[in-house]
Formats: sequence, C-alpha cells, structure tokens
Amino acid sequence: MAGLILCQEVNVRSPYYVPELGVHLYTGEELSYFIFNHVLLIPDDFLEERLFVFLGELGYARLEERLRGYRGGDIYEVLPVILQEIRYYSSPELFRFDKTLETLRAMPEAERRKAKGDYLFGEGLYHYALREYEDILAMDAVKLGDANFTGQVWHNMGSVYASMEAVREAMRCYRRAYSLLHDEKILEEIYALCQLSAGVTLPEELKAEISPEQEEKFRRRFSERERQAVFEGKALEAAALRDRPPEERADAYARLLENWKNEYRRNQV
Amino acid sequence: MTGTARSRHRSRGGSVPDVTIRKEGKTVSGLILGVDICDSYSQVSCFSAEKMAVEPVLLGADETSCLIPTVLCKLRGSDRWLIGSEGYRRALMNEGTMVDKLVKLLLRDGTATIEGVLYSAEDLLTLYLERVLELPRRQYQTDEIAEVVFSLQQLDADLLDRLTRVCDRLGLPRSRVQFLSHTECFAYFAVSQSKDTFTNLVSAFDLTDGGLNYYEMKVLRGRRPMVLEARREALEEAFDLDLLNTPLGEKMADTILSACADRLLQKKVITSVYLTGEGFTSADWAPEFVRKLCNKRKVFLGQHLFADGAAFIAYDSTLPQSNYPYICLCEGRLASTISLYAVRGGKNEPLTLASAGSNWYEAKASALFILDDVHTLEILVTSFATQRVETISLSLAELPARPNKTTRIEVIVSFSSENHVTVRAIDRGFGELFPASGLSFRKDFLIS
Repeated sequence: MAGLILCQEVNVRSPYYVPELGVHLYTGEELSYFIFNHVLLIPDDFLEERLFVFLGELGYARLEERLRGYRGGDIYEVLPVILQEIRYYSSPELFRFDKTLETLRAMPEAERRKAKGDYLFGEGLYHYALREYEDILAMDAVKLGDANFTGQVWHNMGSVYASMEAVREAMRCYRRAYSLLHDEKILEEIYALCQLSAGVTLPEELKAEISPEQEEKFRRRFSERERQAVFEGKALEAAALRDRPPEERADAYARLLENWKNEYRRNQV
Repeated sequence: MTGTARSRHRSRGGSVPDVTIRKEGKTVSGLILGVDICDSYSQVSCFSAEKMAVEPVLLGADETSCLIPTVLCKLRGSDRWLIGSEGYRRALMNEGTMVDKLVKLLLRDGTATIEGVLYSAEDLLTLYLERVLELPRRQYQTDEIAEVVFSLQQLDADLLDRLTRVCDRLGLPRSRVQFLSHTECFAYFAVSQSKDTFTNLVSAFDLTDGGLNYYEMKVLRGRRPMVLEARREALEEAFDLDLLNTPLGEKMADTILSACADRLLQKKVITSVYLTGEGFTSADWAPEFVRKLCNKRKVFLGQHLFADGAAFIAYDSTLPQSNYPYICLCEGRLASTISLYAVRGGKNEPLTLASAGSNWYEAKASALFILDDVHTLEILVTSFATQRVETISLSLAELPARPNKTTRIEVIVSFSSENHVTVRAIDRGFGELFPASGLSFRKDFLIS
C-alpha cells in the first residue's frame, strides 16, 4: 500500500549490531528491513540476549517474551513472528517472505550455505563469504553432494580471492574448480587472472588445454573488458564526482576515499 | 438586569485563592491568574477555587484601581523601579525616568536608555511584569503561580516569542503559561457567566486610549462539540479619550458610539452587551448610546473583562478535563485541521497534526514517517466551518534514491499566525543502513 507509515522515534541504549554489514540497527523498522532483505545473513544463534534487550528497549516487551520462549528453536519459524509484530511490511510482502523462507528451508544445508556465501560475496563481504565456502568444503562427501556442486564452490571461492587480489589463492581455487568442472569459462577466468597479475603465468597443464582460437577469443574479450572497466565499479564512482561543482569536489573525493577505506577495513576482519 | 447598565464591581477578596490541582500527573498549587496587558493599562484577575469565581486584583478600594498603567519608572539614583500610577506620579515629580507603551516597545524589539544604561524591551517588560505579579502574590500571600494566561489584543509571533522569554526570566514554567487573544478571553468570559446571558449573540465594546474595538461571539449549538465563534473588529470611529473632558466632546463621543451601535447591532439578536476599557469607567457621558443598547438586552459595564476571561481559562487549564464543551474559533485559534493519511497499526487513517480550535502559537507538531512508494507529501486542510478539504502537495522528488521504505522523514507543522502554515519535511534517513542526507523541503501556505 503506497503511503506514509507512522513511526516512533525511539532512543535505544543498546542498538543491535550486525557485524556482517558493519551497522547498528536502532528501530524495529530497521530490524525488519534487515531480516527481510538479508535473511541469509541471519546467524543460527540470532535468538540471543542482545536481540531480546534490543526489542525490550524498543517497547516490544510481548515479542521479547515470546522470542525468549523460542530460544533454540527453528529460526525460520521465528522470523515471520518478528515481522508481523513490528508491522513494517504489508501482508503481501510477508507472504513473499514466507515463500523465500520455504525455499531456503527446502535446500540441503550445503546449498543453503553456498547461497549465503554467494550472497556475502555479492555484498562485498569477502571474508565472511570465504568462511562459508571453507565450511562447506570441510563437510563430509554425503552432505557435499556431487562434484559439480563442489566445483562451483571452489570456483566461487576463487572469485572471492580474485576480488581480494589474492592471486595465488584464487589460482589454486580456480584450478581445483576446473579439475572438477572442465568449464571453458573457468579457463578464461584463469587466463584473465594471469593477464592482470605480473609474475603469475598460466600453469603448463592448462596451457595445453587452451587452443590458439580459444586463446585469441580470451585475449579479445579481456581487452574489451579492460576498456569497459573505466565505466564501471569504483572507476565509475570516482568519475561520477567530476560532475560536482568544483567547490564540492574535494570533499566528495575525500568521502569516497573514506568509504573505500571502510570497505577495505571491513574486509580485513 | 435587562435594559440597565450595571457595574460588575466585585468586592476585593480576602481569602487566599490557593488551590491544589493535578496537572501532568503532578500536584501543583498556587495562584491562577489572568493578566491583560495593553499599552495603556494592565489588569490582573485571580481565580478563587474556594468561591469558584474570579476576583480582580485591585490597587485601591474602588473598581478603577484594577487599572494598572503599563508604565515603568526608575527612581533617579536608585535601583528602585515603580509601576502604575505611582510610577507616573514620581516621573511627573521629576524623581525618576519613565518608560511607557511597553507592549509596543516589545513588539518592535526596541530599547530604552535610562540613566546611561541601555535596557531592551524584554528587560523592561520583565521588570514590569515582575512587579505586576507581585500584586496578587502580596494580596493572597503566596508566591506560587499554578497557571497564568496573558491576554493580548493582538497575537504576533515575534511578540509571543519575546513574551515567552520574559516569562522564562520570571521563572514561570512554560507549561503553566498561555498567551491568548482578547477575543478569546472575551468569549470565555461570556460563556462563564449565567446561561441566560449568552443565549444568542454576545457583544462587547472596548474603548481605550489605544482605540475602539467591537467584539462579538456566539455559541453554535448545532455542532458537536459546540463551537464558540468569536471575532473582533477594530472600529475606525475610535477617538481620543481626552474628548470626554468636555461636555461638548462627550456629546460628540455619544453620537459616534450611537452610530456604531446602529451599524453593528441592527438586525442581530443580541442577548448581552459588555462595555469595558478605561473609556467606560462610567457610561454617564453616553446616554443615547446606552439607550440604544438597552433594548431587550442585558448590558454590563465594568473593567477587567479580558483579565477575568483569561483567569477562567487559566483555571480550566488546571483541570484534568475541560469544563467548556466548546471548540473555540477566533483570533489566535486555527480555523482548519491539518492532517495527513498515514498507516498506524496496519490501518491507513488520517493523522491530525494540528486541530481546528488549537492555539496557533502552541500548535507546532512533528511526526516521523516512512515513505512507502510515495514521492509527494499530501497535506489535508479541513475547514472546520465548511468541512471542505483542500490538499496541499509537497514534492519530495529530490530525496536520494533508496530502496522503498528506507526513507524516514520528519514532518513538522508550524504556524506564524492562525492563517500562515509552514510544513517542513526533513530527510532522517534509515539509521546506519541509509544515512540521512539532511535535505529538507518546505511549503508555506495560507488557511482560512
């Protein structure tokens, strides 16, 4: 329903901290938003004292009491209860959220954790993503499923390392992924990694697998992506500031740099 | 008392009108005062809970001693300040320096230099009111003030801000102070009298050195809650009170007022007429005017009408629930309700930010909202008289792009008079998830 939602200004003494996002939550609406949009970030031990204290300070005493009774229960049963009580989301939105939970609940544990790892990777939370992937790979073979799934995990882990510019680790993961999946796309990523990093060369056994036509295709695409790179990501963020009035520009660059630093620090956890 | 003029003189009360009242969950006790401040004279009335009546604070034995000249006199070479007639007298004897027209001085934020020292209008009014409030304190032997209502001819935003600061300096808690118009005090005075005096229209003539004002009020009984509608008209026929110093001048003044009565009262069913102001300390000089008034109407003559009305309101403000079943629509009160639709507890319903009948100076309101697929704020203005709804739009299009429902805005409604409304919407962001941009949007509009 389009419109305004009346909300209360509440001054909580103990805001709820979400380490993965590096933010504090101060209101019931923010907690609802976090649950609804970042359900994969919700830890298994979500129902803990600091959440109860937070809800109590927000004035949701009844909900707090109810959740204390749920401690140790199925987290996916509890989340809709919280959203319903806070009333930030409408009924159709809650219905959609229930569907998401159903899908997650139906997933095997390894797949759910991979989804979480992928989500964390997408959010730029590399260390948290690596932790998920490592935990998956440490699972026993039955839980892990087929080689295809394991290969995907190795591949995604390689991509995380590549994003962190940990080239050797990335190469190690990509090679494991390729050994399981034999996917041309992974070969191309390995090729690109070598192009980007001085001192890293294509391993001999992979070199043999790349035909001259493939190599030409990889080279062409890499050049194209290099050209495109100035129009996306951080380069684009910085370029956008050129349109600011001159008197605001220096401050804007300083803020952007600060954001990048914070992002970097967050990933050093 | 139909067809006769009578004085409303009341005997000076001796008992302490100290009451114990419950307000804001606390028990407070003290004086309940109505203070009428004008440029020429001020008057103070005190509500006696024991007698359930209002008593004027008098300086002497007669009725006119309730008129305290609004002047302040600093005695030469001393730190002593005097007010009222004594201040006048000492200044005339060249024993001190006098400042008058203190309300006008405050309105224009003026200053006065006395014996080489510069005093702001706020300083001077603080000194004056300190001494004025001392009168009931001394009379009733209590320092505590439970509630005070100041009655002013005009309510100007700057004037009220300065008066508020003066009250702060006097140590009067803001929760116990109100500033109301003469019109409103007149209306409440009228409905605080016996019912047969306000069956139909009630009017008042206030004749002072500052001018001639006509007031009219009626109770609209067909509405729930009932409406107390009052208005003031500053009459162009005003004259200098010095005119009454000669028989010829008196006759001329009588003719002027008679013409006013013909114009203002004809074809109206008026139950009561009040004559007040220093021009009506007596009505002997206006026989023709009084004859016209005393035509199947109750006519009352006397002082401290506005101060009494203010004291009645002050008393009512101390009660957990008002004794007056009215919404007052008059000078100083909002004639329209300002609201907007918002979801509360899952239901989309109108949320009132300022109600018709509220005192505009105190009607400032704010609320926090989350925008759910909304880029324009739609403010509803509902006229109490016609129930017509007007929509005022405030565009929020320049807010930073964020996911839906992640922008919190604070909507603040304030007034610079009963007609001038300002609505501001300030981006409050969504916590640390989406920090506030600090952008704000503003719309000023008129209501009637």
